[in-house]
Amino acid sequence: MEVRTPGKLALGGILLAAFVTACTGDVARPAGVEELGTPSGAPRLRRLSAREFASSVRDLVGEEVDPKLLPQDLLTSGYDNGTLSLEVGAEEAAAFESAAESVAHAAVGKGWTRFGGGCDRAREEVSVCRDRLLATLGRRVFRRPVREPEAQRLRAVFDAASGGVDDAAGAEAAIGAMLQSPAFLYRTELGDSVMNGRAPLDPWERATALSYFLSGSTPDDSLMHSSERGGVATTDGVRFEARRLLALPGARAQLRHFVEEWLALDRLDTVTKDPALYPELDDALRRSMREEMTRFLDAVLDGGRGTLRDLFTSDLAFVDARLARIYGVSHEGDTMTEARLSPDLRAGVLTRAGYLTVHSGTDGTSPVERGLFTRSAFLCASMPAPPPGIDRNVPKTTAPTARERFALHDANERCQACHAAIDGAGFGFEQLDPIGRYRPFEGAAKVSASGILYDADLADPTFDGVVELEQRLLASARFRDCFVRHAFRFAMGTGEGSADGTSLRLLARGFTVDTPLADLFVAIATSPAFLERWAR
Amino acid sequence: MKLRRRPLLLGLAGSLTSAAFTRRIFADPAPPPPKRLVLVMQTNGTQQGSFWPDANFQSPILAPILSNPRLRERTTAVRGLYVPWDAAGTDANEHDMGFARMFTGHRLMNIAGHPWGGGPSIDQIVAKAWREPTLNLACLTSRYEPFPKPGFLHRRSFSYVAPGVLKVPIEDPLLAYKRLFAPPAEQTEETRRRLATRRSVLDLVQADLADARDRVSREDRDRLDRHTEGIRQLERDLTRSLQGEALGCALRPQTPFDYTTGAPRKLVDDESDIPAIMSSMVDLAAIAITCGAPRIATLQFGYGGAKWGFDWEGIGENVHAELSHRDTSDEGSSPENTEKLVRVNRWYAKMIARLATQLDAMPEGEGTVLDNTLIVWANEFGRGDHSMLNVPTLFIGGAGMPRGPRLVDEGGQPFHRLGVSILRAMGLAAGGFGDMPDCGPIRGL
Repeated sequence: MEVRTPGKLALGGILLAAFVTACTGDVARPAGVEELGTPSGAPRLRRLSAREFASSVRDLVGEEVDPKLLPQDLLTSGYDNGTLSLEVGAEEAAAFESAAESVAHAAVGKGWTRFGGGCDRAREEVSVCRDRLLATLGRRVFRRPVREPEAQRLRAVFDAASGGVDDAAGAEAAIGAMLQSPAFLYRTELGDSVMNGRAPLDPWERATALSYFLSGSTPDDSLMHSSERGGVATTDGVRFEARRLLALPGARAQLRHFVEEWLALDRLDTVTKDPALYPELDDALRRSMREEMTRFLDAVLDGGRGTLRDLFTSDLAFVDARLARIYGVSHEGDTMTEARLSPDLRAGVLTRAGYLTVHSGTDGTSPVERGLFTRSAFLCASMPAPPPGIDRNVPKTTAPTARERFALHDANERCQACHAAIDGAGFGFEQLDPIGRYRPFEGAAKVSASGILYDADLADPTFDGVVELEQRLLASARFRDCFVRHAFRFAMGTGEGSADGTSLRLLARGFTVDTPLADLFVAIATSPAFLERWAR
Repeated sequence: MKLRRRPLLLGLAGSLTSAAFTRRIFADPAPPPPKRLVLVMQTNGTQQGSFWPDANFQSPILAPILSNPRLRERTTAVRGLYVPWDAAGTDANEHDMGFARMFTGHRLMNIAGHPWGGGPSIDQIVAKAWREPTLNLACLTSRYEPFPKPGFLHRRSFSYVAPGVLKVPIEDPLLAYKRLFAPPAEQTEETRRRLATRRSVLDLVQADLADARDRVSREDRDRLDRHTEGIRQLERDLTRSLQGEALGCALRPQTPFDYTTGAPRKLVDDESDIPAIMSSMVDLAAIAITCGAPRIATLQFGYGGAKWGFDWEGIGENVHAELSHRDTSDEGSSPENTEKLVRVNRWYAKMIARLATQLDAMPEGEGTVLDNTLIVWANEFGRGDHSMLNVPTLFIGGAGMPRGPRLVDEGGQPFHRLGVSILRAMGLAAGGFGDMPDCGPIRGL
C-alpha cells in the first residue's frame, strides 16, 4: 500500500490511466496511479523539538543533553514536533545556548579532531584541520553542505576563541555555534524548484524529513551519502531509505514515542491522584507502569511489524510485584517479567495500568474524560462544548455507582444529546479503577461496564467492557481512518488542513487494522503530501 | 580582543539604559518616565453582585484595592464588556473563548480539533512595538486537575506571540528571579573570554538568521525575526554582564524559595503554597517593572479554567466546579455560595493590591511608578456559570489612562475595545483589535 509520487515517467502513466479508465471504466489501472495524492501546505521551516535536538546532538557528537537545559515544547497538534508552536524566543535561545555550550564542551574535552576526520599536526596547519572540521561536521549538523558565508563565520568564531593558541577552545566555540545556528535548529521544507505549482523538497530536505519522521533524529551517514548521490530523488529511492531506517533501533523508539503521544501516555510522569484515595500510586508504581508500557509497546509494535490489532488485543504484559497487585496476578521476585493476562479482562493497551491511570480523574474513574478521549483519539470525533447558558451543575446525589450519578446527564435532554455518546464510551471502563485495578463493585453495588460507541459506523455499537470496546474499534473504519490522521499529524508536525483530504483518503485506502504499521509509515513517507509543498 | 562595530554600539546602548535607571530611581528631572504594562488574567469569572463598585466606589470584592485611597483614585472599572461565542469548530468552551481571546482579540484557531489563540496578545504586540522583552509568570498548580491533561495544553498561557504560538509562562519563581536579577559575572580572565566567545557565537547566529530570512514565507520570516529579537535580548544581557553589571537594577527582591529542588510538587499538585508562589511572582514583577526590566509583564492565576481549592481562604473545595459553576445569577445563587465566592475573589484583589501598592511606593517623575504603569485585571468570563457578559475589568495606574475613581458603565460593548484602549494608552495607534478592525476604544472611558 505504498503511495507513489509522480515521477516524470509516472506522469505519462496518469494520462494513460485517465484515458484508459475513461474508455473502459474497469481496466486495471497501472500500479501506483490510483495512489497519487497532493502536496501538503506551503514551504516552511520546522524548528527541532527539544527531543529532536537531544537525539540529533547524541548522533552528531555523541553527547547526552541534560533535558533540564532544553526548552519545554508545547503539543499543538498533539505531538511534540508540532511545527506551528515551535519557535525560538529569548527563553528558547537561552536554553539552546546553554545546551549547545555544554555538549560542545563535553565533546571537545574528548578531542576535537575526531569530528573532522583527524588532524595530523606534524604535517598540517591548524587552519587546515579547522576547515576540515567545519566542512565535515558542519555538513552533518546542517544536514547539507555548509555554505561559504556560514563557513566564513564559523572560521571567525573558531579563530576568535582559539586566539591562535588554543585550538580546542576554537573547536568548542565553533561546535557550540553550529548547534545554535538556524541551519541546525530549523529543518527547511522549501524545495528548490517549482513545477505545476508544486515544490518538491530538495534531496537534503527529503533526507532530513525522512530521518526525523522515522528515526526522530538527524540523517545518518548512509542517508547523507544517498541524498548526495540522488538516492532520494525518486519515490523508490525514498521507499528504500524509509525501509532501511525503519529497521534501525531509532525507529523502534520513534514508533513507541508516536504511540505514547497518541495515547497521551507521556502524561504518566505528571498525572496525580488524591493520595487519600489512591495511596498506592507512588513514584515507584508510576515507574513500573512506565516501564511496562515501554516494554509492552516495543514488543507489540515490533519495529513496525505490529498492527493495530496487535496493539488492541495483545494479552502480553510485563509485571513486577507492584503491577502484579494491580493486575491481580501472582509474581515472584523483584524484576519485571513477561506474563499473560486474562484475555477477557486485560487484552489490549486500553486495559493497561498506565493507560487507565492517565485516563481517569484524580478522585474517580471519570467516565466523561475517558469517553471524550476515546472519541477524540480513536474516532477523531471531538465533542462541542455544552451550549451557552446550560446549567453545568449535576446535582449531588448519594447514588452508589458513578454510572448512576452520571445518569443525571440522561435526565436532562440538553445534556443527553452529547453525553449519551461521551458517557456511553466512557462507561465501558467502569470496572477498571483510576490506577487500573479491576473493580467489579463500587461499595456494595455491582458495577456494569456496558457501553455504546456512537459515531463508529457500526451495525452493533453496544459493548460490554474494554476488551469488547477494543473489538468494536477494530471493526470500525472510522477508527482506522482516525489512526491514519494521527500518523499524518505526527509525520507533518501539524494538524491536517482541509486540502489534505485526498491524501488522507488515499493513505487510508490501503490500510487496515492488520497492516503492519511500518507500511503506513512508508506510505506516508513516500506520499506527495510528505515530499512536496504547494509553491506560493 | 578587537571590538567590532555592532557589539560596541550595543554596549553603548546598554550603558545608556543603566544611566536611565539611575535617573528614574532617584527621580531626577529628566525625559518623561517610560510607560509600563501589566496584564493580569483571572479565570472562572467573578461574583457580579459583589464586584462592581457602588456609588461610593466601594465593593466587597474590591475592598483590598479600594480601601487604599491612593489606589482608589487610580482605579477605573469597566462594566459591560462581553465576549461573543466562538468555538471555531473545536471542543472549545467559554474558558477558551475568554482565556485565549480576551487579550488577543482574534477568533480561536482550530489545530487538530483543539482551540488556540488566533493572534498575538497585547503584551506581545506592545513588546514588538517597543522591542522589549516581556516577563510572563503563572502558577499552574492544582490538586484537582494537575496540568497538563490531554487536549488542554492551550490553557497553559493566555499570552500568544503569533497565531497558535503560546508565550510559555515561567512557573518557577526562582527561575524568573535568576533571569531577571542575575548577579554580574565574575570578572576573571576566564569569564571575560567566555563572554567574548558567547558574543561572537550570537553574532554568527544573527548573521545566519539574516541569510535564512530571504528564502522563507512571511510567517516564517516573522518567526525568524522573533528568534533574532531573542538573540538580541541575550546580547543585551551579555553586554551588561561584560560591563560587570547585575541584571535588573539597584532594587533587589527577596530570593524566592527553590521549589524545583525543595518542594517540586508545590509546582504541580500541592496547593499549599499557591499564595506564597503568587506573592513571590507579584513581588518579582513589581520590582522588575519598577526597574523597567522588563517594562511588560503578565501574571496568570492558574491555567485557563483553573481548579483551585482555596484552602488558604478556608474554602477547601473545587471552587471552579462547586462554587463558580453554581453562581447562576448576578445576585448569587445562595448567600453561602456568594459569601465563599466573595472570599475567593477578594483574594485575587489582595494580590492586585499588593502589586499596585509596591509600584505606588516608588517615586518616579512627578508621581510614582504606578502613575506610569497600566495594570489591567481581566477575566476569562463574566460569571462563574460561563456567562460571557460583564467581564470584570479593572484598570489601575496611569500611563495614559484617565485618573479614577471611575465606573464606566455604558451598556454592552465588545471586549475588543479593551484591546484598543490598552494599545492606545501604550502609545500605539489602533483603530480596532483582533477580528474587529474598527471597533474603536471603550466607549465612555
